[in-house]
Amino acid sequence: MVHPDSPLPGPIFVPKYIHIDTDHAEHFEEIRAAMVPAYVVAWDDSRVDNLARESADLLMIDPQTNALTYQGFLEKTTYRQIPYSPDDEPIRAREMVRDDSRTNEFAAEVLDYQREHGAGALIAPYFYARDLDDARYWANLRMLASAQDQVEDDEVLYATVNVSGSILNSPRILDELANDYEDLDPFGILLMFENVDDRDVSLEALVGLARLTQRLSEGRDLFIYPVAAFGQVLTALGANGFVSGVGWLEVFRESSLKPDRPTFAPSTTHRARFYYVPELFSYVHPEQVEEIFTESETMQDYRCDCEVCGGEIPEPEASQEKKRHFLIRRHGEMAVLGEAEDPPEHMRDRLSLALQLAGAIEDEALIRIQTEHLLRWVEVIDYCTQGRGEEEDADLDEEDLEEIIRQERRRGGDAPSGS
Amino acid sequence: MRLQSWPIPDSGPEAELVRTARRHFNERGHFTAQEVGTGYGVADLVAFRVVPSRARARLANGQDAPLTRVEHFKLLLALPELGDGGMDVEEAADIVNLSPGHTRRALLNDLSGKGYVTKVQPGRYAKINGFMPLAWEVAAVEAKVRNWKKGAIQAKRYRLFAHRVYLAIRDDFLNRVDRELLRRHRIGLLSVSDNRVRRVFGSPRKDPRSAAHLNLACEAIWARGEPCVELEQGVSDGSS
Repeated sequence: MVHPDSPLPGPIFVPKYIHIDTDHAEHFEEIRAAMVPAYVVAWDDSRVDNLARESADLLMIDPQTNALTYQGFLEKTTYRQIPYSPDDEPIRAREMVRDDSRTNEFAAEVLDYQREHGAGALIAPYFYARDLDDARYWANLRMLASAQDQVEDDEVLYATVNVSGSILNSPRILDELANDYEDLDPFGILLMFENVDDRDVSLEALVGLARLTQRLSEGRDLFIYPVAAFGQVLTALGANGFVSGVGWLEVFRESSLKPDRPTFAPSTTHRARFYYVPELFSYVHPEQVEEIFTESETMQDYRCDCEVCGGEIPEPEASQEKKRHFLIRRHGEMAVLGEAEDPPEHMRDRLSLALQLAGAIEDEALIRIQTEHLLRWVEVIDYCTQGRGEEEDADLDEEDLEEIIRQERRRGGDAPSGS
Repeated sequence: MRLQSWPIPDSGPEAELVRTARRHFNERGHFTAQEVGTGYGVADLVAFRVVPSRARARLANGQDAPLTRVEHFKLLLALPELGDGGMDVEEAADIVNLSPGHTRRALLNDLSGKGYVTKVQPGRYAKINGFMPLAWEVAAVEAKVRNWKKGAIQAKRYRLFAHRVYLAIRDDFLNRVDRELLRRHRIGLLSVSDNRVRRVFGSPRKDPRSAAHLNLACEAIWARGEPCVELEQGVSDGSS
């Protein structure tokens, strides 16, 4: 797994910093990599991208070319400031498919912008495609090929596969997609599937994503971007790591590229106020945190003692502290995964613990933590590691794990969704 | 977080449970509202012990427009009274964890327009006429036909804004309920049969976890345009 010359051997979590994350970028020094969207670079060249360069060994700039085929970017000043964004009309993918000179020129502009702003690994231009018949999918392959011709020998180039999550349910389509990208053989790939929320998506889709990860990571760098905690499972199965925002921005949606994109409803709790509990793979609603860590005797042993929390329960409003806590714990999770002798088994054990803890929380504090997705993640690991030797030991008895799963299923599938 | 107003289900066995429970509380002098959310679950039914004098005071002060954000109440709880120098916007923004600009535009100016707050100096605000919650006691009810555990989990959430919380369950499924579990978590139990509610055991009164959320929930009385016949008649519920 991973490219033999990878600048980012895993496991690694790559935070994506946006304009409100300057404090976090300053706080964390010597992280291996950080991602900054092109609109942030265009908006304020001196802030976040400078900080990311100073605090991270390697900076990646998401060129966000997928926004340029929609009208939405025309309404956003920051996107208009990106030098390769069109002036008046969205890009038509057919231009890239039919006109090599246009494709080459566009790829050159996108790569030069990243170089000028200090990117240590380049990302080829990409569009969002709804399926493999979408002209934008074919434009992606043309733009990737053009970009590959324009990078120097000592430069690293990643392709971005930005397609609808619905294709994850089709092994045949995934096979075609994998064939297309293997033919081009990029140094690395960023997998960006639309509308894939790891808590809600089906088992079939998760298995499709995992299988694709295993296949495309053979001898190649591979990151999932963006994804939430399931990214750790995919890392255990072969990815270098994954990219997401600081405690949020973990799902890509096509609607975010369109005009009048939906924002957070004021009646809902902003995600930044949720508290990440790595032992549960979950973000806990701010109103539940105190109850969980005071009323559940079991959870007393799992109070976070990171430098931000220090064993104390965070205030509901302490969003910035929670983000810093998230970064510390997420980097820690990846470091521990990196030391595991058997990464898939390590993740299976952690998921088993999460299921046990959720059961204890419900019994002791009468708070239900959503866990159905964790059962699916366990099944993904089992499916993707089938045929492993009998001599491999598990930290947990197979029977113990099966009993835990049966108990969780008896609790029923009527748990409240979300927080 | 805003006061949430969800459509009231008008059919189905659970809707019937709620209607029966609502009648029960109305008959005992409560104001009631259905589908009340304050950002952490949506209660099937909320029953208020209204303090008529407070409601009349707000009406007299022209403060009858409902406040629909919990941030309004966080500010009202923190702002000094008129005459104490006022609070600056930066400090107010820290309280609600929002930007100063948004705090001023969306919250302080709104409170000012509705007669709760005034600007005492450029960038400094103070409360006028004080603020007290409309109800001296709030009870929240989660109704379930049979899934008592789910109902109990949801009922417990309402301790955020309610003094008492109840699980209302259909009488023929009452025997499934783990009463010890409910008692341990201070959740009362109501048994509902055709047109009748029986209180199996009560919910000990306890201050809500959040005064701001309590105040927000009470605004459901204004927000729903509940008729205030008792207020007009000057009926007292015996409380202060």
